Amino acid sequence: MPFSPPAVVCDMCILHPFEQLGSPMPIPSRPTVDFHRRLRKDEVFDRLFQAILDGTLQPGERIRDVELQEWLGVSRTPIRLAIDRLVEMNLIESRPNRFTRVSPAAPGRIPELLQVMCAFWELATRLTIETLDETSALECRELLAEAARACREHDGSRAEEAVEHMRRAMFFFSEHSDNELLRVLVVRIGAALRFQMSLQGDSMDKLLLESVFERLDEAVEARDSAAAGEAIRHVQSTGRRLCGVTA
Amino acid sequence: MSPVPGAAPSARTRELLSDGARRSLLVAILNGTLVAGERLHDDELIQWLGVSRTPIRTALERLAEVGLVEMAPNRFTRVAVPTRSSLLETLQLYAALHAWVAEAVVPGLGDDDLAELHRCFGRVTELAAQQGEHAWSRADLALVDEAVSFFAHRTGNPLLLDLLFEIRVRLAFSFSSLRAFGDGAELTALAEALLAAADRRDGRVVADVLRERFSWRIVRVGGSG
Repeated sequence: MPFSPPAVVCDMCILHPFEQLGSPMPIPSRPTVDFHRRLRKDEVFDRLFQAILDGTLQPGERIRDVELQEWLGVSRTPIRLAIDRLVEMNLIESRPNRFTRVSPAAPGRIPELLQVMCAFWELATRLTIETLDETSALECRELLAEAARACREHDGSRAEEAVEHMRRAMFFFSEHSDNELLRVLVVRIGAALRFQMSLQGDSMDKLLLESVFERLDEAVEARDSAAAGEAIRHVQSTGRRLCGVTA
Repeated sequence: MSPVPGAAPSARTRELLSDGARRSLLVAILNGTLVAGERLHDDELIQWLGVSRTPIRTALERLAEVGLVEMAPNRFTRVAVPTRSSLLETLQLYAALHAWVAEAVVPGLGDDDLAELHRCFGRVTELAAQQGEHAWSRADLALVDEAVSFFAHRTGNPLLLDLLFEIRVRLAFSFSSLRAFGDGAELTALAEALLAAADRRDGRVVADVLRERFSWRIVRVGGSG
């Protein structure tokens, strides 16, 4: 496995990587004594996560514990824990007694993932839209506007960025809901969807996606959760075209 | 903690080891071998599950993520303690998923399917009629879940089914810990409204019924027995 230390990933890894690397892990309150131990395994997770999403680690590429340990300078345990979380997110697959590898592209999974995510988004928007305060609503609308812009201006080189903007916009709702289980599941299954969609690249229907974000923006402006629900139904019904799944 | 039969380790890779550990823990939590709030000590777990610390930690973290285990760093790890509010949270998610897929599935239901749906919810109505104030058994919850899951089973979405399995586990654990049960009158009303809408092939109304009625209204805790 060609493992030259990826400078890009290293640059992005500063002590509080959560925001920057865009993986919205809930930051629990923990006593400082445990700070470093917690951070190491989360840092390992963040770096692997990012490496998979930005293509540093390619779909299907083999993953070997020992090489990761050398690359990241950590022991086996944080590697194992990070890999396991990524397996759960379907970003890594692990065949017992055989290999561990980055998940390959599996466009067939996109409609399955999308159906589940749409159910989550419907719940999340229903729980939050009507009770958003001014500041949060503004923040939400900015994220939605950025997502719409990213779709419009996406030049097809790498879907990663556009998908990242979309992720932030959609995650806003679940993050602002009271439902902890919803938050956890949106992160987990959202990661799998994001990964597969970023591999679809240019085949995503950007105009359609842009219109979804515009509709959500209107729904937030009007504090209308029913309208948000309709926008999400539209995502569901145009799902295949939206994500460029031809299979 | 008592050992769970069938958890014997063998020469497997680390991936299987943590999966096996997780499964054993899950079974033990579900069948009451481990109870809500029970402390989980590393050494005891290592001895019981026959694997080392790392796969155990992995298994515990996964269970913690879905709220079956609580890990307080440098303090204890324990089986989660479901609360009424955590139960309602799970129910809300459960309802949202089933409602979403029902909306898609209902319009296409054939007559045979519809008859089957009536049978499933007929059983729910029977349960509701006998329903006093006693805590539901796992069989009772399974009966209601079977009816509600009618639509999910017709989506052909394996990811959805895996996820629902996990949620069902959490629900079952919460129900048994809290001695929860469903309100008889609410259940009956739900079944009636749902079947009426399904007869009209109105997916939207079926979904709305599920979303609205699987809430605090339908669940009661602290049942007898």
